[in-house]
Amino acid sequence: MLSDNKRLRAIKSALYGSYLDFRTMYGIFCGIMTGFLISTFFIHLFSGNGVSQTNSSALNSGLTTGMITLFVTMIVMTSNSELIKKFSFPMDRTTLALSHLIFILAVPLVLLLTSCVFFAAEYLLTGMTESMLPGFISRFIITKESFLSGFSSSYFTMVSVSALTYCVFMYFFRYKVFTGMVGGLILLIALFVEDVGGMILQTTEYILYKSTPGLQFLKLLAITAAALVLAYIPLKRMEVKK
Amino acid sequence: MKTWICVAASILMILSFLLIWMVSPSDSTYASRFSDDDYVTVAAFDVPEEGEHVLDLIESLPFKYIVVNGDADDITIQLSTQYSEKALEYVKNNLTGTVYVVPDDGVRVNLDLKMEDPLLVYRGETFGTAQFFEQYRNLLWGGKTSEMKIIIPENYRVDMR
Repeated sequence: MLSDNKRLRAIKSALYGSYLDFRTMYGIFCGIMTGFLISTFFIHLFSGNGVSQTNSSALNSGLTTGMITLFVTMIVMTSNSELIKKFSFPMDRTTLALSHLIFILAVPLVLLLTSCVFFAAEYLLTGMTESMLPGFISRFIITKESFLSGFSSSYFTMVSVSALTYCVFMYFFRYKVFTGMVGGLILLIALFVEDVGGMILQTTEYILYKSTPGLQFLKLLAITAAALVLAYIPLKRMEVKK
Repeated sequence: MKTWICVAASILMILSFLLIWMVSPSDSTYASRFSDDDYVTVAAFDVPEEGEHVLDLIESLPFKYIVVNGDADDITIQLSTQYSEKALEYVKNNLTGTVYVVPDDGVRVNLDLKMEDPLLVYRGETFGTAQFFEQYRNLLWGGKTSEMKIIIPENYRVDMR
């Protein structure tokens, strides 16, 4: 019973730690998205003359911004100082891994749903602006099916990219020299050996492009699972602070 | 964070998701909006009729367009009725073009298209990841659903250099 309580407390504290990480990155994400919204509807409109076009909606901006913020968050989350800060008794490896897993699965969903809020705001602002300013015209390139497929595809892409980043940096911060050398070597080979670079591109194309939404989901799920399992190995070897 | 803020934010997110889903057309409805009848002529330019010609198109228009050969004597610019009537009227009033026949051989014809007044075209696109799937690539970004059609006579071919 006592041990159960301790474990529950550990999970709660781990989730609270993740929530604090999330709060910071979410603030940055919302700030960037608000900036995009302002730039689209105010700076463009009141900048005077000329002919211009903007294709990037809040959905796309949210996807890109979310990817970048998640990438940075994964680097911060796997750093030695962050892990050691959280990795103290009664926290165990499984609890910490579980909190990271929840973070990787939940945060992309929240970020994409937030993009939807900004897109809805854009939708309303577009109608208002078009009725007020004659030089502003708009159209929406979206269908029900493409929205749902795009949403699910974006979610799984974000999750798998986060899991891969998590895995790579989990090794990097534990074995800097070895991972740095191997990573650098792979990067150099990919850049300078045409066949290897082409092979990497073809694999990415195979995973992302030559698929139906269901197949793509399975491929990305496999990548995510493999990355998370691999990332657990260095975490398992870490010592608990007493 | 206070619970009520979390609840309100969650409701807002779900409502936004549903709103976007509800106001978006289905694939078939979207595709049906790009038949030949769904374009209106916003400008037409007289060009030499006899002989074979090469058209050099010089434009700074914020529209995605396709050039097609059609049964016409002039060059016709058509815009999709996806845009509002007010927008179509605005483009009609402001789109100007200059036709210049290169005197050396009389084969090359330059058409310079531009807008007289400022114009900002906003496109609210779906997630870029939808482009991973061929059916959406063709439907949303393919030539069949282009915003503008430039119809040139049968004896013209366009030089897209």
